Amino acid sequence: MTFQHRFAFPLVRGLHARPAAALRERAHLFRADCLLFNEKTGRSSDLRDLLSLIATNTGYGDPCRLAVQGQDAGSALEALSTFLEGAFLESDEEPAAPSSGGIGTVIPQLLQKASVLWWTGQGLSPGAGEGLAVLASGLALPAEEPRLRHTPADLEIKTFAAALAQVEGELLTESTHAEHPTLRAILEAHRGMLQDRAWRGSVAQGIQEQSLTARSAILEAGRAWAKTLEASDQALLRERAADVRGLSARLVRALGGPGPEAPLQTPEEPYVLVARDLPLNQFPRLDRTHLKGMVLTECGPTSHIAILARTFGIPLVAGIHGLPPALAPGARLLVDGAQGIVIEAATPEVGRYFSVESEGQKIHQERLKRHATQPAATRDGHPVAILANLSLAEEASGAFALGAEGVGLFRTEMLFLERAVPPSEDEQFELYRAVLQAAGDRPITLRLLDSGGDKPLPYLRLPLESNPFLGQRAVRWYAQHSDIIRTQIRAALRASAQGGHLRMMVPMVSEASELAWVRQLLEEEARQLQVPAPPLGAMIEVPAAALSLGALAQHADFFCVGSNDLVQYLFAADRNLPAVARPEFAWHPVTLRLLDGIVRAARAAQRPVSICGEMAARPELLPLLVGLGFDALSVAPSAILDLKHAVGTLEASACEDLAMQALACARAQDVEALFRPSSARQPTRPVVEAELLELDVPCLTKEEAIKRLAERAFLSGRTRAPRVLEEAIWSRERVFATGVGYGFAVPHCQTNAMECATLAMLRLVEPVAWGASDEPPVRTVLLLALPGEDVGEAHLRLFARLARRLMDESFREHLENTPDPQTLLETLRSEVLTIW
Amino acid sequence: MKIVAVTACPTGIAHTYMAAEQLERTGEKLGHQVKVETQGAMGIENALTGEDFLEAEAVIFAADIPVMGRDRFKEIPLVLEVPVQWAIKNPVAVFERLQG
Repeated sequence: MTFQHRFAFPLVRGLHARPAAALRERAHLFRADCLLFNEKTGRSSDLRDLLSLIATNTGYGDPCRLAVQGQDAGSALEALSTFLEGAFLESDEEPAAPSSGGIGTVIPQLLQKASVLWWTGQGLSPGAGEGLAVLASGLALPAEEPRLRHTPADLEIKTFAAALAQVEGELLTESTHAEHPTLRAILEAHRGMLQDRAWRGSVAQGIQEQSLTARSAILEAGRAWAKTLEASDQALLRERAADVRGLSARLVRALGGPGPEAPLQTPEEPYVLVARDLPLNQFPRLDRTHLKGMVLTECGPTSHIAILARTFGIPLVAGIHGLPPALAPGARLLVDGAQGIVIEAATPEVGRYFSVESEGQKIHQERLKRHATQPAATRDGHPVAILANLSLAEEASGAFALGAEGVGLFRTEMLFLERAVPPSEDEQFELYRAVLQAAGDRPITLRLLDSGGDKPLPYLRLPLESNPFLGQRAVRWYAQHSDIIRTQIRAALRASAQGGHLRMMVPMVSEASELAWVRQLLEEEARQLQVPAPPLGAMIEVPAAALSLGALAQHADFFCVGSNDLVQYLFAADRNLPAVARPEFAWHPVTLRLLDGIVRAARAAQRPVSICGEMAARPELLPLLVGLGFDALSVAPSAILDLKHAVGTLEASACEDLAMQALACARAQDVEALFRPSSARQPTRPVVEAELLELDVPCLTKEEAIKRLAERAFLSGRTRAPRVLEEAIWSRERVFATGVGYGFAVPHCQTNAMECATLAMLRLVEPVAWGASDEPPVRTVLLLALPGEDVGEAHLRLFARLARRLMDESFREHLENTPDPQTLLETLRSEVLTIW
Repeated sequence: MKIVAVTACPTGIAHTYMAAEQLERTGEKLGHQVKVETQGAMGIENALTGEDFLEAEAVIFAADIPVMGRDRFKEIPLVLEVPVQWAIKNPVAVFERLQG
């Protein structure tokens, strides 16, 4: 017997993925067959098939019929119709944008109020960029891959089933670990789509009836289903097309072989690349003149693509899972790589807000460049060389212009990727010679090929490993393919014979014998070519090597700590997996003790020791690394200027004391408390300087005005965290707006982000609204910012006096009319600062 | 009229003092004798004394946070409470309100 229930579809946004998933879940409680008929579109679906349900293209008010048949049909219909009238209505709630991002993300006030869409993820390469979103999700198999199978259909069906099981398992794990409910819901919906019987049926049909391979059957089914969804008049259903494409691509990847993404078509205008991940070898082929930012789902802070993004100054945000499916074609994105924010369709106000920050960064960089040519040394004269990490020859001249004192890590993998045979000796020779020449007399440290299971090269023919980071990486396969490494060494020796200062180092060393083997090879080749053997070093990235420097020193002329891998192996935490790779591992006391041991052992063996890796590039960790005694730091070119400047502000003896204290700590947060002091660091700076007075500036919004003031404080070196300062100002503004009438506002705050008491002023060309709409707009803004602790009473007294003086009309007229900052500074000094 | 007042605001850096300044200036202009105690980041300043309390005919609290030592004012017949912003933006209106 069939039970029926007629109803008008009740959800305003139609039957999209979440309500469909909710219906499906209900239907699974019963054994009866439950069918939904949409009498308007003429489509029907089993309630248990998610994708088919969505494809019924059901919109608000559509006449629908539920037909239930089978054993428990009566109770099923009753339960389902009750559900449709009740809890079902809640399944249509607006998906909330994740509101809090990674640690330390500060969401600009403007986004908190503007009606733009934004997401937060992990900011992996700083800077802001805006452009057309380019989704790397086109589906096509490589042209040379056969579409038709030569294998029995059963075998292809089995392969398909295995891929399904694998991706379903992955999705389950991902959704279990997803912290945000919206993300969890999306992943669950994806899992539901994979279970859709109609879709599975169309793949099987392709394999059986059209003799397709599993790979091409998946793609054809995916394309057909995506097309059906795209034809929908419901926006939310159209967006699911991208999910179907993404899932098909994922299944094809799970089947092995090259991924199905079509070669990227990049536009002749600024664009932002959006992709699940970006194969390393694709990066050099991207049109970088127009590439303004990247949004990658799967990328960690030490992924190679993140390293390259930082090198080339391309803003990168990772870990936003909900983004690609939510993007409409032609969408424009603004990527804020410092804070990990991605904004869709930014308004002119938002755009201006971010350009204030970019301009600030640019000025900051220009200023730092003045010292670029000096070798880095602490204030008390202790030298700490700042070297560059490079992956491409083209990066070299830029790095030296930024002040690199040499190349501490030249990765050679790029030349070896994406080809059927290794590069010839001559090809390598040309590359190495180019880098050595660009460097002049600066040292170039060439890292021998660091490849293996994690960066597979077809000609190495290494077996597939379940755990490539622990597998046959680098020096571990050298003996097996000695021809490849011998060629690389010969090319490097020949290049160095033409001039330059070459050093070579061996990656993934875990014991002395590996190094001895390379040393012997190097000396053989040097003898044959009749050139002197260059210094040979060992990378210290395996804990076993870190604990045996004495033995390694017999064969090594220098050491270089690879901190990314060392930390990954020390904590057994995959560096590409944000769920386990916690940033604080870098300054965990255990890491610091291991580093201390390395430096001491290197000293005892009279070998220099440098450190490369992400932790070397963090200015806040610099005092620790200097204090531990590293001779050199090798970092991405984009970090060099800041680091060189930062070295110059340090006192070597104070760094040593700091390192001693850190080594005695029990927890990472105790170390953090040491390098992030909460009190004023520059207690004696004057409260106001001419550069803090910005007169007659065009400004569109209050948000922009506050941002400008924060940037001023940053540029004059009074805060290192302008966004935190900004947020502190806003948290005060939220109590009540600080407009005081007469066209004046006095935003103020007290925050650990400030290093000294500061008075800054902004005079606008056109007034902006400051508080409620009935309050007068503001043209003159005075910022009073105090450090978190150790606020001298003198500063408070000064601000109190300034506040009182503002009530005097003639004083206000001075502030409104004085034409230049210098005169204004004099006025402020005589009127307010005299008592100080 | 002899008037005492207290000004106080959440951070105690700016508004407390602007309000005090306005009440003092405007009060004088309107022919009152005004003494303002500020309760700001520097603590209590220009503290009101026993004599002030004895003579005061009215008290103005221009404060957005609870006033410290509220008990001290309980004998004063006329009490006006306003947000600190009112004292800054329109102090004349504050005095007008006091006089009914």
